[in-house]
Amino acid sequence: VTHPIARVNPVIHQPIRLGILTAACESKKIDFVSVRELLGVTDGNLSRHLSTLEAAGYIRLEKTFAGRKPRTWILATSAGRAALKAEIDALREIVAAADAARPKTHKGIRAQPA
Amino acid sequence: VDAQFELCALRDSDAAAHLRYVAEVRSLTRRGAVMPSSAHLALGALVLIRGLLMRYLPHLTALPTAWLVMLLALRPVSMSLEPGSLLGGVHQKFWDRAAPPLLATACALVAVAIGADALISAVAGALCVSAWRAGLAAIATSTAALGVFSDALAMSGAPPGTALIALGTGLTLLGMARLRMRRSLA
Repeated sequence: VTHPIARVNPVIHQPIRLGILTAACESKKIDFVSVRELLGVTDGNLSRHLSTLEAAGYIRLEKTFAGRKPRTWILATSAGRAALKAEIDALREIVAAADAARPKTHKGIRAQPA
Repeated sequence: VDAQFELCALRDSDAAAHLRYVAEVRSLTRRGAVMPSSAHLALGALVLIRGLLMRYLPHLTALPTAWLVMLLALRPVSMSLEPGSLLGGVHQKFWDRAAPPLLATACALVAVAIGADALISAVAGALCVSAWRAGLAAIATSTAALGVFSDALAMSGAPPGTALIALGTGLTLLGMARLRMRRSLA
């Protein structure tokens, strides 16, 4: 049995990439501008993280045109959905394990970390 | 190497913070797709206008036509309410799209069975589920309570249109309150 930390995915553990993949998995498809506004990141920063996720096979980018304006859509792949689910499961296990290991107070309530 | 180092230093509080972040991004994405504030405002205004027409101009022959025109205007009106938002940039998943009409139909059927107002139940049910799926529990609960109150008002024999006016006013106020809240993580 591996510790849940070993199952945390370094590609999507980075907060912006985690946010991008979450937004893509929570919709059928989401456009570049919406993700930029949602996460409060710059165009360049978002583009770099999109490239990383695309290279890992977690998202697919679709380019369309609205009139003359190009529009980039972000779609989660099945590998991306599976990776996000695994990441969330691992994070939940880490929290649960720490909670179980925390000493109980005299009223049976677990002490909170400092 | 940096990423591996960060993982080694991962604490349960970091993991909990990541989980909270995921939950917030999920809610905001659904909110961007469902647009509960616009839906409340637009449908609230439609219901209010219909209630006012029923109450004060019951013999207006153009009533069905006006209702149809208002329904057709719903989308452009809601689009103009939130310019520069996530509007149009988020395509809903199947259940986000299907849940409101399914619940509206179910509520309307139950309303007919118990003698309540089908329109009130359908509108309140649809808006309640869309707000709930957008992570707006307070708005969803308020919408459900408003629907029950308006249905009770209709069943108590209040003058025609009164219950619709109450529901429409309440929904519009909820939509306006929601629009004032913060919409972005940034």
